[in-house]
Amino acid sequence: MSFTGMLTYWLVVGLYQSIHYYHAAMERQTIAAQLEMQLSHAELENLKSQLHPHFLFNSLHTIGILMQEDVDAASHLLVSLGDLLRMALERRENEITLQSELEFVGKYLEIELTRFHDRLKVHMDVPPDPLEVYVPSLALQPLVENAIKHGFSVDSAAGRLEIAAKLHNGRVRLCVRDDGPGPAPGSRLRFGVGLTNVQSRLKQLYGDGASLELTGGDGRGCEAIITIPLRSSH
Amino acid sequence: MKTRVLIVDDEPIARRGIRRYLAEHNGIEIAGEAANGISAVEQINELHPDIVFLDVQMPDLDGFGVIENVEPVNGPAPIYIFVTAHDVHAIRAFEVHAVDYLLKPYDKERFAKALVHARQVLEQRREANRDLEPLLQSLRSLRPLERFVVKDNKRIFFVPVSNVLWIEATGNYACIHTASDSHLLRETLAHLEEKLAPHQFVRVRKSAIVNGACISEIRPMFDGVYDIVLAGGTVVTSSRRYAHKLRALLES
Repeated sequence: MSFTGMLTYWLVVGLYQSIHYYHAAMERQTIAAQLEMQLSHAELENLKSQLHPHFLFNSLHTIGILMQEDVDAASHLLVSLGDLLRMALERRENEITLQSELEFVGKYLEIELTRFHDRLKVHMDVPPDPLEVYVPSLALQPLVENAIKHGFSVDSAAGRLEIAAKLHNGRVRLCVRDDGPGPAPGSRLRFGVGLTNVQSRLKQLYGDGASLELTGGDGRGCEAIITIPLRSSH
Repeated sequence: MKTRVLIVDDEPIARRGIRRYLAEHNGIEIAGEAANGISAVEQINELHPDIVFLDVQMPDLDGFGVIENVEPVNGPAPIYIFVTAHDVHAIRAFEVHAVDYLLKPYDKERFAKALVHARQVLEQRREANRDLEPLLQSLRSLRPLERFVVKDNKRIFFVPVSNVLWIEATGNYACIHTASDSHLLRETLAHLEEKLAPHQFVRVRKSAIVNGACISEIRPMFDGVYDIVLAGGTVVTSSRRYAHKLRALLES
């Protein structure tokens, strides 16, 4: 082989190798960027599922109108919304006491009750003994929001919301029930984004030891039940 | 001429807000308020408002459902201004010809802009209609009814006129009979007869109209009275007074 022939050969081999490495590097970069995007997307979805934009903007509008009618009521509602946002943004622990979770739900309901005071009635059935047990943070609120969204908000005859918690056979049982139209007869209940999130977090935290069930009432209403193992510290 | 406004929102505070902002404008009359979609449809059909402030997310029937189900019998459709907390509905809102789209929270300046715009559109429409209205009225009466709007407790639905075998008067109501169902309408038989196509539906006695296409047999009884057998076997007896209408149908 002549010298020029050798040179051409190695040039071609070298060029091929560099293109190959360049592609591999690009691919790694793309995968890393995709992973990062998925992660931030998941975080954003998580925040959105905790506080729906619809809820947030309606609440701000309510405050704006109340401001012109009753300054004290407006400032009270503004503080509730502020508390709620702080709790949602700061919450980093996976598990909190049921008492803290109920406080969060309470703030949320306070705002909904101001918006719909003449229609919505909330009944809480929580004895003192489960208050100190640990439950996944932001697990109850999506259930309540779901009941309002699919029960109360679509049917003007609905207006009762029940929240119950109890200890049973070494497990904690949280239940949210509405009196909305419930699922159409024969249709299957499906989880939306909020409930799917709750379910995957339960799976992460407790494996198969926890469950989220959604059942239709007898012709009316819907009931969501979370069952988790009993823990008094996390 | 006052601008008549209907306020539709399931949140009482939001309705009060619209009232408050409207109070800053002259020549406005609040025709009514509705807290759910079905009540909104009924009020639009009965009160004929000029402008409707329409919330999108509502119990029973949402804002889009309201527009689909409205059938104001006399007078033009109202002008809609959508009011919502979420902008995902914006494109659809303009597809159904909303003139504006208020995103909550909004202030009184933004509200005023929407209202002024809607009133301009209303004024233009009134000017155009001033010349066209008599023509439109006569056209409307020429075009026969295509479907009945039926309301029961929880929903509003439609029954195509071709599915109706016959219509029976019961007091101030009319009962439409299809092969499988019967529904009450809050309308007199005389009024319905005017709206239905005369070559399709025929008044056979004071309290009954039959669908000509559903007649399977006509049996002369005596003295100009006929038994009309409909598909499915129902027999409606005609009266002598209306015999000429039945004959006209047979000859057409």
